[in-house]
Amino acid sequence: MNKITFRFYLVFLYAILVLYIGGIEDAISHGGAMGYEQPKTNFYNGGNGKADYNVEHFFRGEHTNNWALLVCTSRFWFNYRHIANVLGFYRTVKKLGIPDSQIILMLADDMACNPRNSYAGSIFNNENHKLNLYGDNIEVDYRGYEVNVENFIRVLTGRHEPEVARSKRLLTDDKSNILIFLTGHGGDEFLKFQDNEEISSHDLADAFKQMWEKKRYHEILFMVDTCQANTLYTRFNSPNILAIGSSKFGENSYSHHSDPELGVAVIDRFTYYTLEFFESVDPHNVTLYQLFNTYSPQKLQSHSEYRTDLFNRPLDQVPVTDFFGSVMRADLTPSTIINEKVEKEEPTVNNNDHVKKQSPKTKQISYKITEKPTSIQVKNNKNNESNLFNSNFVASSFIFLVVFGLLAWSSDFVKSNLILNTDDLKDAKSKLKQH
Amino acid sequence: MFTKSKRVNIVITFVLLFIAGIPVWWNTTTTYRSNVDFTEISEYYLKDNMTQTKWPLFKQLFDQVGPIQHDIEVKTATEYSLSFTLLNSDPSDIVPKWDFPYLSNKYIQPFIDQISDIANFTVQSKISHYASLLKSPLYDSKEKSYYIPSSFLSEYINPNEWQLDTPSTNQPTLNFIIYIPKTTQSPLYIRSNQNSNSFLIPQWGGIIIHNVNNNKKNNNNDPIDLTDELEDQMISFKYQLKELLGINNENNKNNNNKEKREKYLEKDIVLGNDEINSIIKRYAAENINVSISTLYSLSSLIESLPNMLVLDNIRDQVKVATESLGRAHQCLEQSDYNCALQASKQSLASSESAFFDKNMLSQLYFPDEHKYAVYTPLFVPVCFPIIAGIFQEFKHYKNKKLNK
Repeated sequence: MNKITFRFYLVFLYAILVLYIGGIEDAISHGGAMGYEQPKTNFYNGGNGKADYNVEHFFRGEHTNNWALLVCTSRFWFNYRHIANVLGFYRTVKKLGIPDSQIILMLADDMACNPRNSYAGSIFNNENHKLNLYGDNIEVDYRGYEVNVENFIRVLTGRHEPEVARSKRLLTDDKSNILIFLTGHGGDEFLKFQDNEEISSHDLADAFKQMWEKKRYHEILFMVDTCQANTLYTRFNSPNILAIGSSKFGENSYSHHSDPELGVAVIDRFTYYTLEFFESVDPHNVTLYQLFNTYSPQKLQSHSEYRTDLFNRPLDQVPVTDFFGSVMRADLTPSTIINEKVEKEEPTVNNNDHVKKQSPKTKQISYKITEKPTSIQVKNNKNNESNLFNSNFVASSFIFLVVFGLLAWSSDFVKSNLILNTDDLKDAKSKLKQH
Repeated sequence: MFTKSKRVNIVITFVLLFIAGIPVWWNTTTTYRSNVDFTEISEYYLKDNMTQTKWPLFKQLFDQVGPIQHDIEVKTATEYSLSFTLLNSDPSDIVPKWDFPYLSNKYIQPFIDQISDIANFTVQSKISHYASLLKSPLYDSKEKSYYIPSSFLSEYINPNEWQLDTPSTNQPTLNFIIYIPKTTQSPLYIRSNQNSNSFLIPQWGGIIIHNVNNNKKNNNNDPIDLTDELEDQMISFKYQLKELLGINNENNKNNNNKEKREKYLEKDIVLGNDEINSIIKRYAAENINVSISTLYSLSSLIESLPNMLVLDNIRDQVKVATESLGRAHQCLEQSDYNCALQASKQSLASSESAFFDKNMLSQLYFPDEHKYAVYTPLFVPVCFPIIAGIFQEFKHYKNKKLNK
C-alpha cells in the first residue's frame, strides 16, 4: 500500500492503542476495588419491647467519661442539611449531659449568617421551624477553613502544635467513650472535606490504630451519614469500635425533606430518624440495639449497615447513654461534721458505685430478645491490593511495555522508511539528477 | 536537520539528565525518617528465658506496688492544677467570701509539701455564682430539710454545667467545689447510710454541699466570711485529694471492704512516712510503666506506618527518655526510690512529648496505583521520542559499522 494509507493506518492504530490502554487501567483499578464482597443483610424493624427497668443503671459500661467529635465536612449554601445534621446531634448530646468541654464541634459555620438565609442567624432542621439549632449556646471549636483533614487527624491522634487551645483538643484517656459523627459528601472509601480534599478509609483506620496504641479511647461509636457511608469503616482493625453507616456501596443517602421557604433540604434521612428516636423514647432506658433497629430500608431509602466484629459487647446490653450521654459517678466520702440527724436507710439499691458488679436483690431480670441483631462480618480484605507485585500490576505493566515497545519501534520505522530525511531527499534528488 | 554529532549529543544529554534526575526526584519525595534507637526498649520486651532481660528491677518494682487501678485515682502526671471553687447558688440570698490563702496555707499547702516530690502542684481558687442544680431536691417535711438520695446524685448535680474549666492550662486539673444551696433549697443533705455531704467524682474532683449557718445570714447584702465554717471542709478536701492521687494506707489497700472505711474523719489528715513512701513508689512504677509502653507503641507505630515523617527531635527525645529509664534502674539498684521517681518523671515527660510530636503526621493514603496515575502522563510522553532517538542512533551506529 502507498505511504498515505499507511500513515493513516498508523495514526488510527495509535488512537486505538491509547484508548485500549486507558480501558485496561480503568478496568484493573475497578476490579481491585471490588475485591471484597458485601454480604446481603436484611434490616427489619424489631419490636423494641419496653423493659421495665432502667437499662442505663444495669448495663453501664466501664468508661468514666464521654466525649463527642461531631464533624460536618461540607460548606456552601446547598449543603445546609449537613450543618443541620451535626447541630442536631450536638443538641442531643448536650441535652443528655456531655459538656461543651468534652465536645469537639467542627463546622464550616457558613449557614446562619449566609446572605441567602432568609432566617438570618437561625438554622433549622425541620420545615416547621420550631427549633432553632443555632441558638446562643453553641460552641464551635473548628470553623470555616480550619475544618480540614489535617486538623481532623490531629484531633484524633492528639498531635497538635503546642499553642493549640485546650478546648480544641481531644483529651481522652483509656476510660473514655467517644461518639464520632461524620456527615457530608462521601464515596467509595473516602469522605470529601470542604470540596477541597478527601480523607480515605485507610487514613481513618490508621488514626484509630494510633489512638488505640496510646490508649486514647475505651470504646468508639462511629456514625457516618454520607453517600456510600458503609465503605468508610471497612478498613478498621482496632478493637472496641462500633461503626454504622447510612448507605452501602453504590447507594446514595437521601435527604428527608426540604424547606420551601429556605429553598434547600434541611435534614438527611439517617439523622432525622436518629433524632426522632431520641425524641420519642426515654434515652436513659434504651439500648443501641433498639436504636439501630429503627433504621429500615423503607425509611432511609438506603441500606444502613453496622459492623460489630470489633466490639465486644452485645448491642442489646449497651445503653445509648454510654455514647450519647454522660452520666457522672459519685462516690460518697466521709465528712467531718457529725450530724445529729437520724440515719435513714436506703430501701432499695445501695450505692450505685459498683452496680454493674452486683445485681440488686429485689428485682428480677427478664428481658427476652426478640430478634438477633444483624451485622456484616467484614472479612479481612485480601492484602494483594497494597502489595506492589500483585497480578494486576504485573499484567498491566507487561501490556504497557509491549505497547510502548511497539509504539517506539513503529515511530522509528516510520521515520526511517516513510518520512524522508532531508538528507535522503537531497541524496535522492542528487541521484535523480545524476541519472 | 541536525548533523549526526549534534543528534548524538542531544540524545546523550537527555539520557544523562534522566540518570541525574531520578535520584534527585527520589530523594525529594521520600519522607524523612530519622533513625530512632529503640533497641533498649525492644530488649526489655524480649521474652527470653535464657538471658536475663533488661532492667529486671522494674518488674520487681511493679510487683511490689501491685496492680495500679484507675478507678478513682487520676493518671500520673508531672504536674497538676488544683482548682478550689466556692460555688454559690443564688447571690441574692447570700454573698459568700472566704480567705482562701489562709485556708490553703493551713491545710492544703502542708499536704502538698509532703508530696511535692511526685509532681508540681498549682493551687487556684475562685468564687462563682448562679450555679444551679439539674432538678429540685426532694423535701422531707418531718426533718424540714431538703435531701438528695445518694444513688441518684448524678441526676441532680452535673458539675460540667457549672463551666468551671480553666482553658488556660493544659495540665490535668482536679476540681474541688463547695456548693452553697439557695435559701429555698436549704438545708440540703445527701441521704445515704454514711451521713455525709461530700462526694467525689472519680478522676475529676470532689464536691461538698455546705449549708451556711443561719445565724450568719443578715439582711443586707454584705459578703459573709465563711472561712471558719469551711475549715472542716478543707479536711474533707484533703481526704478526697488523697483518694484521687491514690495515696492509700497500706492496711486499707488490702482491705476492699467498704464498710470498714472511716465514717468520720479525724481532726486533720497528715501523711505518715509509709504513706509517702508508698506513693513515691507507686508514682515511680506507673511513670516507668507508662513511658516504656509509650516508647514501645511509638516504635511499633513508626514501623507500621512507613509514610510517617520522623524528624530528628524525636530521636533525641527517645534517647533522653531511654537514658532516664536507665538512670531510674540504677537508682533502684541502690534502693533510692526518690531518685528513681525523679528519673521516671523525666522519662515520662520525654516519651509523651515524643509520641505526641506535632510533626509526626503520616501522609495520607497514597497507594501505588495513584503514583502510577500521576507520574505516567508526565514521563511517558517525554520518554517516547528519547527512546526512539536512542534506537535511531544505535541503528545509525550499527549501519556505520557495517558500512565500514
